[in-house]
Amino acid sequence: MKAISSCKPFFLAALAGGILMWIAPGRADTLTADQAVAIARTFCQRVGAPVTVAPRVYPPSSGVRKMPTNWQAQWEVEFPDQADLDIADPSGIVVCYVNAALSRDPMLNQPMGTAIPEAEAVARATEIMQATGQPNGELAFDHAALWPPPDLPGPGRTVGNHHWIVYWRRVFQDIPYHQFQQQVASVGILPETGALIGLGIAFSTPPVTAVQTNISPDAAAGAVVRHMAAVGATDYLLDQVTEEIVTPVRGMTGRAGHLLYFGPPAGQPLPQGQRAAWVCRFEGPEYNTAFVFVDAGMGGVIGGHINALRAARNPGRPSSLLTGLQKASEIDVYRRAGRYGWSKQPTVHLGQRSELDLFRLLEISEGAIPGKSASATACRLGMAGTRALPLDVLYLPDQGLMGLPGEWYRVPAALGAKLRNTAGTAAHR
Amino acid sequence: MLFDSSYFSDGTTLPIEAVITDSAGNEYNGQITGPIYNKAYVLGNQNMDTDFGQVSSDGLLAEADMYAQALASYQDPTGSTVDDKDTMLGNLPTYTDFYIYTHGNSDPDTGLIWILDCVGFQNSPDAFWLFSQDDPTEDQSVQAAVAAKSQQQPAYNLVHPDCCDTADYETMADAFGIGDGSVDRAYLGWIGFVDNNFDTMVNWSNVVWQDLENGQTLSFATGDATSWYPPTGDAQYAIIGDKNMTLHATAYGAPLQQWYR
Repeated sequence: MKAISSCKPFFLAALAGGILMWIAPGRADTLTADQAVAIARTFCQRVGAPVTVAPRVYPPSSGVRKMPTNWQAQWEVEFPDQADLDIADPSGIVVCYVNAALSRDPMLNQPMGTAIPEAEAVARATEIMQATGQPNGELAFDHAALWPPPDLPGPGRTVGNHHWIVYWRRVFQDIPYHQFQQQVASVGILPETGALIGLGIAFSTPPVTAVQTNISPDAAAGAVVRHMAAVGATDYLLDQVTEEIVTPVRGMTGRAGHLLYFGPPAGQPLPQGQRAAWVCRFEGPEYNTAFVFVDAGMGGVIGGHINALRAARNPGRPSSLLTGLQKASEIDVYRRAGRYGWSKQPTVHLGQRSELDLFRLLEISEGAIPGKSASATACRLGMAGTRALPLDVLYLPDQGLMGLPGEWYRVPAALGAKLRNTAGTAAHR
Repeated sequence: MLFDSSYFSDGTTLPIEAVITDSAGNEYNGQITGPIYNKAYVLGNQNMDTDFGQVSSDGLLAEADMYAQALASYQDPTGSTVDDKDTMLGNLPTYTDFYIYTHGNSDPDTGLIWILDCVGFQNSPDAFWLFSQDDPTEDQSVQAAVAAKSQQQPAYNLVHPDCCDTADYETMADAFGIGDGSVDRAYLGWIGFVDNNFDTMVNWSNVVWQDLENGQTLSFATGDATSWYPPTGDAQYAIIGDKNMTLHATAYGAPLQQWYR
């Protein structure tokens, strides 16, 4: 049962059919409790997890969800120990579902079994997403991930840790919304059986209805590089520029004494409403990635943030990234498709022992971080046979280094030649 | 015997009456009384680089403090953003739930996992080391601290180090005395690198603890959190121990002198 926020008055009412509902005054809900329950029951039936007990119903005005991530008002319909659903009002879309019965099944502690193939998982998840009532036009399939990968050794290899999770990005006319502003839909299913574990449609804003694109990505990149210099982010290197739908923000990232600001200059108003932006991605020190938004219609920085990682580094030991590269049994090298994009297919597949041995010779560079003026190429390494962690790296041929700002490896000459020949040119270094 | 007593505050005296019927139909009554033991240790690293989202008129609040506030609704937590490794080790025997928001990493060659204390930086040598038990020459301080629990200090119920790589191997869970055979006790960690954005990953943990506080199983809580805030990046959560566990306090039974969950 969810916590009830204490600031809203409510009382318990019993409806026909054994439904218990929390009622609060003040908001006119469009759906009725019976309609919300009917939608919930139908959804559970369609996804193969029918419910049999009387529900508890919380209307949108009850404030049950402390942190809702869908912009629409929501009914919560709880079938105790069986299912927990959030129904959008008035659209009737099932924006969240958790299989409570499955979460209490002792089977979760049993060793994990064989996973259904990815294509089957995606087809099953797509059926489930269609059952929510979410319009297809806003969804673009992104990827499916098997947790954990079959070849990853490690603890907890039990049914309860085994998931297929299928992701969709929210789009407007093929332009994706910025994924770090809560614009993702996902379905989790049990790989052994295809049973639905849970789903969420986390769309934090109403849909955008029109966008303008008047400036070029090159102009946006130039503006952002100037902004990064002005805020003191001198050790960030521009990596990629893509058009996305964003909500303007005055973004602040960092920690006390080390804060970076992304937004319009002080005194200038923040544009209101979602819009198309050129999102410029930078690689920074200590695994940090910066995203800075430039208004694609009007120009100017309208927000951004840094996506840091909760990763420590042991000064006395090689990082797990380096160790992974050194131990990889296969490596795919991707080339930039354009100035800012990446190819979808690898340019080179490295699977021969002699080729992979070149990565074994990588050593941590003890030197200072190379200057941002260094000539650089960029490549993406997809590691098969180890943790499936796509890694964007820079190669600095004049310094014989490869890596990310803050973590550089010395590159053997033969490997350098291979990277130089396969990697695309990195712009605005 | 299992008692779901998560709603009782630390120190509450709990009388429990048991009625047992044998196969012949004879009833036996018994009563035990003991103090509730319900102590959570909630920690945040004060030196995390993170995304604070929209700048508010209230100014910036250290994210570690946000965590402490968010989790403070849990019964009787002790929160800190200043405890260093030695302080943490000294406190470990006292608690039954452990949460920390910080940096972590692992070594695939040794199965070693390390995390930072509340004051360490990403490159800090002042890490809070959790070493492989395969190597007896390495630091065993966490294992030793947990093993130093007295008879009056029950075992860990839930351990949640909320940082990179903490479930890559079992070594850290082992150090806290939790494994896949544990009943009603669990360790929640991450496989791989965890993004540190406020909008998603911070809220993921908040949903997990909110659901646990409301009596849900750990499996439900993680599923609910993942539905609302699907983790960004490559990290995957993993539960070592009992996926069906709920947050519990423990009651010390005076007649039998043992802990009941």
